[in-house]
This record gives sequence, structure tokens and C-alpha cells, in this order.
Amino acid sequence: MPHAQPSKLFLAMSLAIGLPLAAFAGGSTTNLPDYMSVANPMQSVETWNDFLREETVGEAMVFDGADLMALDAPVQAYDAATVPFTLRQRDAFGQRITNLKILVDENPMPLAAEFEFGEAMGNVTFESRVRYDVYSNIRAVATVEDGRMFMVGRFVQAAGGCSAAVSRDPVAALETMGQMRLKQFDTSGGQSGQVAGTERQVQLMIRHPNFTGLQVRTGTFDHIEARYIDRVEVTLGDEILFTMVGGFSISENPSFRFSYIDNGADYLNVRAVDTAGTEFTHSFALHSGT
Amino acid sequence: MRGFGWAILFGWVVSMSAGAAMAQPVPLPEDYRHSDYDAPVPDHVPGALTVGDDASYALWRSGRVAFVDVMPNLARPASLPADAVWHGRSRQSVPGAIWLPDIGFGTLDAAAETQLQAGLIAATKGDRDAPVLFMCRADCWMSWNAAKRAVEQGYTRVFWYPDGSTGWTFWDWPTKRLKVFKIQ
Repeated sequence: MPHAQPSKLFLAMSLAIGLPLAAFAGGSTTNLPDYMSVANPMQSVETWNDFLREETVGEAMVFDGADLMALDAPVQAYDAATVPFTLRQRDAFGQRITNLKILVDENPMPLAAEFEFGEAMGNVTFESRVRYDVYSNIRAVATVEDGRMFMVGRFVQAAGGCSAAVSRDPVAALETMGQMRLKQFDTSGGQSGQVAGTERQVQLMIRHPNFTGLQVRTGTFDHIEARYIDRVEVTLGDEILFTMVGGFSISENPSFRFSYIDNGADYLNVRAVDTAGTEFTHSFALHSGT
Repeated sequence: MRGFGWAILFGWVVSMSAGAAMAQPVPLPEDYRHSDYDAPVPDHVPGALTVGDDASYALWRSGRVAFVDVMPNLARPASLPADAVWHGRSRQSVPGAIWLPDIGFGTLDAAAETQLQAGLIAATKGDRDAPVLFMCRADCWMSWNAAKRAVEQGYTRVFWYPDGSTGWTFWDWPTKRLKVFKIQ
């Protein structure tokens, strides 16, 4: 979306003659809603048009998703191996997001992850981290209940994250992989008790090197074999929260922060499987609202 | 007339290329370069004409010379699951160039051999006398290997642009994102 920026000359002139700048700031010079004015909108569409569109959605129409959701990602990332993104569904849309694909256009494996969301996710808020091989768009393609698809995206300056040195000794990383933690955030405003219908927020952290196959061993320069978590299933009691099918673009030690609607269940269960077929499971006791 | 114009262009390029001899020429390998592709290259490919930046640019501007970029793509890790969708990287290079990423290696597997044959036919429309230029980036043996292959295939007007995209982008000449050549 084009967004008119006041020119420097205009700014200088405005200052000189004491014009109230607020009148021209932000989105007020256009009729766009504020949320459509972003610092780092998507840039090139070549990859999308070349093959990514066909691979991702086939022949389906894809609508501008700005009214459905917002995708936040930094203009520039400090660490290309862990570029954070946050997807927030807006309240007013009226339909659930049932499927979400996160794509990094220029990565050798562009599809970072595909999520299927259960009803208990409510209005989706989802945060994770991806690797960046070269400067690229990151896209979120969401499908809602009636089957329509929507897309939003950002352009992030970050490079080298798919082949960047692993953060720990590969042997040590393999020994501790599969450890999990769940952080539970109290968003109830101090209200206690396990109340069905309350929105909760948690962060799931899985220890796993998520080797891309592009990283090399220090000293020998031979490649470390690809091995990454490609399936995650999270349930709230018996109810499915989300499943993920992922590629190596999800950063090492995958971390997912998300909200859900409490259904009164006592446990949140996680099952993760990596590309070597190793399965990791964990059940976390929920202490909702306490 | 077409042939005459071509002769002038060719002669001019030869004059542009004269005097570009290197101080310590790198010896020619017996057949092809098989490893350490990122290294200084010889000053010529037997049977081909070495061209520098300006000459390459002129050839490109003439619109008569097929540019073949042989910069290899990021190799798919063998350890990736078979069903993982892999695209490698994109390549920013000379507009209109055909990207044949697999034909610059020392030995070619069957798929690379097919890419070589089909790619050269596409670049020259099957005419072995049609001019064709090979490039990758500076100090890259891939274009040397590929140019030599073309000569051995019987192509008669083969240009080799050893500075490749390094030289091209230094002068800020136009570039375009290339797609890997697909056999029709």
C-alpha cells in the first residue's frame, strides 16, 4: 500500500512557518486506516509470482488481509537465525482463522510452517521465530472458516540465518533436544480460578537444534545433517489447539507464544516429531489464573 | 548484411580484448577444473574469446549474443527429507541471460548434461554459429568449464566473460532476477 510521507523539504517548511505537523503525520494524509501504514511493507513480488503463489494457494484468490490480521516483524533483525514475528488477528472479523502459512519468500525452503488452528485458539495471537537466508518478505497466508484466503506481510532485512553457526556444540544440542518448558502468563488481570472461556497466554519452548543441513561443523567444514522438528501437535485436554507442519526455517529451539480460550482442562499436551522420526512428548499442568 | 554487421562487432570486441594478458597466467587444466572453483582463472578458454566488462556490455547491448550464466545454485542438502520443497536461491544477473546452474562443474551427471544440451539449444536456437557468452562471477571456474564445453560441442562463436556478475554489477549495469532454466 502506498503511503504518502511528507518530504523533508515540506517538513522543514512546515517547521519554519509553524504549521501544526500533526495534521500531516501518520496516515492522516490518506484515507488508509492507521494499521495499514507500516514501516516495512512487502517489496518484490517476483518470487510470489514465479512459483510461491502457485505452491501456496494454487488458483485460489488471495485477499488483502489487513482487516483480518496484522503481521509484525522487524525492519532489520539483529540475528538472522532468529527473526521474530507476531501474528495478531483483529477482533472484529467474525470468523476463525483455521489455517495459517508463514512463508519467507527468499529462503531455500520458503514455507516456514503451516498451522491448523482449533476452535480453542479463539482470535489467533501467535508468535515465533524464523531463519532468514537473504533479505526477504515474510508472509502470513490465512484461511478463514468460509474458505477465503487472506495475506499480509513485511519486508525484513536479515541474511545468513539458514547457514549461521549453531549456537551450541552439535553433540550437546542433540543430547538435550526435546526438553520443553511452558511459561504461563496471567492475562486474567489477577482474577483467580480456572474459568472456562477465559483467554490465556502461554509460551511453549522446545529445545531442538533444528539443523538446516546448510550449517557446517567448526573446523572441518563438513555439513551438519538436516534435522528439524517438522510436526507439532498441541492439545488442551482432549481438544486440539493447533498442529504445525514445519520446515527448517523455524529457528533452533522453537518457541511458540500464543493465546487460547480456557476450556477447563488441567493439562496442555505437546507432541513434537523431528525429521529423524524422534518423538518428544510433554504434558504441562495448567495453573490457570493462579 | 547481417554477417557483415556481425563481423564488425566481432572485430571490435577482439580489439577491445587485446592486451588483457595477465601477469602470471594460470595454467590450463588438462580437461576441466574439478574442484576449488573459487580461484584465479586462466586468461583464455581454447577456442573461445575472452571478453572484459565493456566488451560484454557492448555484446549485450547489441542484442545478438546469448548470455549464459552458469553460477551454481545453493545445493540441496542430501539430508533433507525427500518431500521438503527446496528452491535454492535466486540469481541477480544480466537481463535476458539464461541461467544454467549445473553445467559449470568438472563432471556432469545426466541431469546436468541434459541441462547443458537443452540450454545451449535454447540460447542459440539450435544454431552452432550463433554467438554465445558464458559467465558466472570473478575468479570462478564454472564459466571456464562451461565455455570449454560449448567449444567442444562445436559452437563456433563462444565468448568467455571471466569477471562475470562481479564486473557487471561493479559498473552498475542493469540486472534482473533470473529463473533457473527449465526444459520445455
